[in-house]
Amino acid sequence: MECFHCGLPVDPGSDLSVSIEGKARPMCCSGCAAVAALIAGSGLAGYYRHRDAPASVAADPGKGASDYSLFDLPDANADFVASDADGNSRAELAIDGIHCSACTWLLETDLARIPGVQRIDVNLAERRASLRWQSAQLPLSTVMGRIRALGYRPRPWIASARQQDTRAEGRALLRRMGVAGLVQMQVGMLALALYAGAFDGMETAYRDYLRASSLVLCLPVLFYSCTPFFAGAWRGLRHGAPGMDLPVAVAMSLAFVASAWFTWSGGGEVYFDAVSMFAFLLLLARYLELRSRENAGLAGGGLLSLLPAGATRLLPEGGVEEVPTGRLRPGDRVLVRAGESVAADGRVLEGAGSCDESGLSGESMPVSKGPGDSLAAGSLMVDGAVEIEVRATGLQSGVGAMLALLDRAQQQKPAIQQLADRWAVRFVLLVLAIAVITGVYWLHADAGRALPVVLSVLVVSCPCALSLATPAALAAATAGLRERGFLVTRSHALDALAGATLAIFDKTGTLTDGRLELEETRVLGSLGAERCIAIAASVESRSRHPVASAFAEHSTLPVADFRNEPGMGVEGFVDGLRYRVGVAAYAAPRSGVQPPSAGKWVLLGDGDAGALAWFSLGDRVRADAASALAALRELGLEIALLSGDANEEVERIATTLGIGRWRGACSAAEKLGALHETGHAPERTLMVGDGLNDVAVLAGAGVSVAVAGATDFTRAQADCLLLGSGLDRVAEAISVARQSRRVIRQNLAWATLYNLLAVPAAAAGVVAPWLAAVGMSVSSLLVVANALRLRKHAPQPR
Amino acid sequence: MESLYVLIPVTLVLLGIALAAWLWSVGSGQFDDLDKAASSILFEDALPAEETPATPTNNTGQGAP
Repeated sequence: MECFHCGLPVDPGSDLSVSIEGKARPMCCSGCAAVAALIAGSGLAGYYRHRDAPASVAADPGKGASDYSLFDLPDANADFVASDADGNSRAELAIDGIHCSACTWLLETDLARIPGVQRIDVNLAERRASLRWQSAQLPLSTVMGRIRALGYRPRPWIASARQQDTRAEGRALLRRMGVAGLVQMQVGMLALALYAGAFDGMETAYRDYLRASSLVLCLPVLFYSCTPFFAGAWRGLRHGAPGMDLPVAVAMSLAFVASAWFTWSGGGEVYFDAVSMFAFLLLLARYLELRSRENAGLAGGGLLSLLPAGATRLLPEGGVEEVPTGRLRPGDRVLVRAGESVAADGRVLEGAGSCDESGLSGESMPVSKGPGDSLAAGSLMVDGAVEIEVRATGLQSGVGAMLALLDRAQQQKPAIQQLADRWAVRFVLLVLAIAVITGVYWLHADAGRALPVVLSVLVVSCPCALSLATPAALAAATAGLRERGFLVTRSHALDALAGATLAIFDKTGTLTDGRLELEETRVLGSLGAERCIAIAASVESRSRHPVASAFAEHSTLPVADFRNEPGMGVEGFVDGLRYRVGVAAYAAPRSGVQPPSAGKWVLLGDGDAGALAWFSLGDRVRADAASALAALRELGLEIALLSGDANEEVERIATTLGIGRWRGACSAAEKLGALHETGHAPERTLMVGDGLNDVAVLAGAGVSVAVAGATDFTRAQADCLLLGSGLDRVAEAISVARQSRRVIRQNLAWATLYNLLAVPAAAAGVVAPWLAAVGMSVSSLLVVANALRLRKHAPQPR
Repeated sequence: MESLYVLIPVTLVLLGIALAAWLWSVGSGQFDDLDKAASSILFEDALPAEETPATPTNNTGQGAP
């Protein structure tokens, strides 16, 4: 049975349910139940009918409930709240947990009802809410608390410079595209009249008038819409690496100059319609690419998204206060409770608990922490509570060091020049050479015809087909993959996917699903293995610690007097006898037993001298991991495993999945180093990962994929995202990428063939102008049609 | 056919108006989030709340001030 709210499995013994639209729906925990009851109680149950995917599991409102009141303080919210004299305030909030338009509807409809809220607008692409409200009447913390109660996690939105650039870039591109689109419709109508006139005869005065009007209309396209192409071409030339913008800029300006010349001189043919339509199509392709990148849906970003908004600081004179994370200083004493993220690096002074560091280190089991142990910013307290002394904050912390590593990896990222770029540059150089030779020839043969012939060579060879070949194929392949749950967010990714020869996987959370399973039981006492498992499962069934998930599938007995010892284990009474599950020093302190081997073992004991059984726990392999790897091998890729977890655990998974190359106990920096020692060129590597310790290696690999459960920050760095849980999609994406590479080659071949026929004819001065125009349009259409096949005939999932 | 000398300048003026409207609408942020608007038609307005007295709302987020 699955939780109706978040989709996680429901404990068989649980009877939590919420009535939604007249039906009792099962809930996995009281957090989800509270959120679902709130949604249904507000008359917003329509959310459940329209959402795309289950919600994120809700935090238990009673436990570690976030206190947003610190955001009401003027000095804490100065960065993201603006107020005027009348108390009208505006704030931008990043909201984690939004994943479809049902979420935005739920938030907008519910929050708009709070008295004092003037306007709430939730942006799905950016996971951001713009809020306008009366701050005198309503504190911001009430709104943030309500968002939290609906099951989302709000935090201040502080846009990085890059995010602001992306937004400005998107708007500018949209403006240019619209201008080109509106103009090309007008120019097209005039062009139709001109073509009709060319066949049926037209007075020269009207023809020249229509041409002059087209010229005027084309001016904004050339001098406004096309500026990115000219800027790109100039940038490419200056850096000695001309790209696709160069042929585009050359073609545009030449076609325009030639047409203007013929408008002035009254001969030849004009190509204003081709210029404006071409500009529109290219800008459209760019805009679509930008949108697919934005759609990755990454809220906030930067260091802020990795750390909690605030921390509980202990005052020297006693008492506690909530402070924003940015205000913590080394030496501060901070309290971290179960369910909270650690805000700064520190050392434990008092208390005990266990801490989930899987995102930072790849370690799959929570680590026990006691006085003297160090705690890393960004890790999550699973149970217990500790008091820490802050050692390092912000960029000085371990998380900050990972960001520095990420910068380094990005600088080292292998440059992948796209196939079409190389081809197009050579092509343009060739055409320019032919134009010069033709010009020299005609100057000697018939000087009066030299200019018209040179212009027609340049125009006929207009690399429309060539320039459209790649964007059209990439757009079709990207759209096809997106429908299957594989989102490509950077333009080079498809090319790199097609060329990948080595697929590197992270372990925890990527090949495994991050939940533990019971692998082996070693009986020590007189009780049988089944009885030991049943007792352990019963005691653990009351615990929310990750170890408990290993026993979740086993049937349970009634338990009395359950107790949890943070960082040590759990205790409970079954049939009147005391049992403990946990580390040896807790479960059976006087038995003196030692774990049978390295690895993750927990002991079942009576809390005294009687040790009953050792349980070996392992990370559970994803159901589809084996088939996904098999599909990749079939495509000829080598597989490697690179993990931060202990060697024994990595070896076990590697053996299970038949992976020959593996390396464990890697820090984030070692992972990046290992990438360069694979024997494969770094640009031919594909990295699949999820955690923060994968961020640098993801950025350094030729192409990177973040799995569905990855942190927002990791997803922001990856070239591709898996939207659902299927690892199979990776192999599928590689086949589509290879197919799109074939289509691009076909398109380029066609464009070349067309030019081989048309350019010599134009150079000889025998191409009728209308024939050149038809040829140009037909070749462009063929290229686009060929690209669209990618969307229809992409290989079906197996 | 002389009417062309009037009609084409008229289309230019109309096109100018259309372009100005386009530039304004992009600048006012109407195209910043295309995904949400695409599916907003699927959502009915909120049903009357079962527990709390509902205030009239619409789903564009422009709640009553």
